[in-house]
Amino acid sequence: MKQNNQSLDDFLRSSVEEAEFSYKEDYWVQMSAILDDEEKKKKGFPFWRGLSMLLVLLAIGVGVYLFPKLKQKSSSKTESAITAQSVAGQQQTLPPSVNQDQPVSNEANKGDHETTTSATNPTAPVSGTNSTGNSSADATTSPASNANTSPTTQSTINTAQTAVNADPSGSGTNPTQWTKNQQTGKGKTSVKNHTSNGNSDNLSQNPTTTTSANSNASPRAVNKNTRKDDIHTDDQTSNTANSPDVVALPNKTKKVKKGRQRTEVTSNQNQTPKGSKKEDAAQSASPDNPSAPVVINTSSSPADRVRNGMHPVDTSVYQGTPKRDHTLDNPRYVASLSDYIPTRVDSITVITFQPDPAVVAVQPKEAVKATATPAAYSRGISFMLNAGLNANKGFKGNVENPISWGYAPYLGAGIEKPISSKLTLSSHVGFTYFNGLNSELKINSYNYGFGLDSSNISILSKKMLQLYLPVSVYYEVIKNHYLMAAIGAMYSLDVSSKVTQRSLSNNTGTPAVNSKMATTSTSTESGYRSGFNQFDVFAQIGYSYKVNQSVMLQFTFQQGFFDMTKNSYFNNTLNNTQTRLSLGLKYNFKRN
Amino acid sequence: MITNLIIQGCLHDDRKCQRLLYEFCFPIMMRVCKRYTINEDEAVESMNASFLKILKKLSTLKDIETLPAWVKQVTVNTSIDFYRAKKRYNERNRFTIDTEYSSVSNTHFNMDFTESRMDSHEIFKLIQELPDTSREVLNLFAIDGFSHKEVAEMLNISEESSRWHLHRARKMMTEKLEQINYTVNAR
Repeated sequence: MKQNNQSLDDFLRSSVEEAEFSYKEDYWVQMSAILDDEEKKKKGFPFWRGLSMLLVLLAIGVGVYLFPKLKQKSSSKTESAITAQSVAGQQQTLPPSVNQDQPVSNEANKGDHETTTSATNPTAPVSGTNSTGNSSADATTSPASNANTSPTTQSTINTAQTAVNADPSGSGTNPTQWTKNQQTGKGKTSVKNHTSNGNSDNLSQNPTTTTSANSNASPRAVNKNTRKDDIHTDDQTSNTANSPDVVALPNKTKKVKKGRQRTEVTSNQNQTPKGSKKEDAAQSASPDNPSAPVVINTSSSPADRVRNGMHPVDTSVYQGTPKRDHTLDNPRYVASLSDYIPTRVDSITVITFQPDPAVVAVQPKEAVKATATPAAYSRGISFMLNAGLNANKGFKGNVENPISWGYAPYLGAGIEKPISSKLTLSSHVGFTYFNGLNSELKINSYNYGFGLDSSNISILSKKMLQLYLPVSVYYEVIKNHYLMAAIGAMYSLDVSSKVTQRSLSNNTGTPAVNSKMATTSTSTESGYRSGFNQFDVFAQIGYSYKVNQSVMLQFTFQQGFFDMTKNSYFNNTLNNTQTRLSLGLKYNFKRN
Repeated sequence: MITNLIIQGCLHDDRKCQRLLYEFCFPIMMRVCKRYTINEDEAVESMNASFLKILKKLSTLKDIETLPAWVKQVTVNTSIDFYRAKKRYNERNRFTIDTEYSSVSNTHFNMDFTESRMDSHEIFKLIQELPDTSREVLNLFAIDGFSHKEVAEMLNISEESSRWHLHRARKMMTEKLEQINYTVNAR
């Protein structure tokens, strides 16, 4: 039975395998329709894939734009609390010695002037302090001598280089006189001359001169507007040791708020010779002088301010008061401050500067605004556009005449934000294409008895259309010169290829040696991307030059890390990574 | 002749290469589909579905030398799936397994096929006239070389049922062959 079954099976098998069926064109027509439907389904997918990539990039851009704003809101609340605490702390930590013995400082003045002060050695012996209008001894030779000088006798020009000899011990024993000089103007700080002569109410109103005062003057009673937190010592040490005019102590300078009629003053020892420029400048000052100090810029010396187009117009000297014996009249001192040795100063010099019109006319106003505006890196995010030309290094391929370097334009849009004074963070989305693929696929077919002798199809890959997203950091090495480093990702949308078809047919249905008809057609088609990898990661380094506030010239080198060609497709073992040089411009829409 | 380049062209959706491959696979697929279907229209439909699956799975072909056998295998699997989707064998299978199995277990046939005077197309017709399940079992076991265990798994039936359907198919084929002047000696 098995043999019969086997015979039957063999018979059926042989019969079936020997069967021939006639081929009909209708079969292929039906199949072609099915294939068309399948292609339509496939085309929809890349569209959604590309759309999803764009949405992801858009979400990243929105997040980068909104995140700093949200962070600023939370940090501003924190800063306001911290500021309140710090102000309260400062009021408690001011040295009491200065507050006890020294008169009130002038408020900040509105106007174009700067007012600077410097401290003197409180231990300097006072010579001629009780005299009025006496010029002091040579300050350079006798820094310890106390200067009983009026502002009119001081040359503010020469006060740029003043030495600071601070005596933190405050053990000055020589009685000094305090004079206060306030200038008044339209909406500006009033200037009053005040001389302390030991009497609490002895207050003279002489805006142009300073008068000597008795050594026993009580500064506290002199000016009712004295506030303890207005005067404190300055730790800054100036390089004015050899200045003949002003000897300044290390000072801590406090910013003076606008609208307060007190300038910051510190102890100062002013010893200017007679007939000095300070004296002349002081004599020219008047309460009606519209030039009044506006900003106290204690970060620079008077010499710097002179160089920056400011010249002094007035100098006020506040002489110190003699040290009091608190044990006599202040029981609280006895109780709590007996062991405390306050810092004392002998005098305070307030120098008022006026901008030099000739210099101001030359200097751009941006230089002045730079001190008043916030730092550059505190600006928000700005938008930018960039465009230029890429030079792509050609792949190693199988083309007869390979392209060594292919050139392609690029265009991008993005955002950037300064994160410090020298660092800027930037990111953008760009579009370009990579030519120089140097890859060709050839397909040959031969006679099959269906009317076709041979056919040759050549698919020459030309361009790879790409979207890229780098995240860059710019570092300003020197002014207007930047170094850039970046990492990013790249996505290839499609490959544009040149397709050439050559067909030789005799239409006889039998293998023929001599072809009767040859046709060649060439077209540019997209979609032959199966031989290339679509995703790549790259790194960039470059140099940028800032042409102006908005335009930057940049040169970059980019190197990809992934092999962009599939070895199985092209049947090779080559490793083709993307190498690119770029030269272009970047335009920044800065918000000021 | 199919080369690797034509295969690559098919992978890249080149229509001309696909047609060349279709024409190459046509006789292989049609021989299979004709056996698993009952008429030409279903055969063409099954063949086109098989070719579509071949194109989708063409990237898995490792050796081009095995292309005919691979095409045949894919076509057989597709034909079975195609037939399952139609769900006809339940409607046309009028016999129960136990009854038929017991009734034909003792029947033996002795056939002489040394001289085949039949056209191969007639064989196909005879096969198409068989009941659905029996036809599938006959095709899978007798012609395509699957074991009863594999046939049972593919058709979702038991091995005994597969054996019964095979015996039934052989019996019916013998009877039909006798009708066209083939000698059958029953014992």
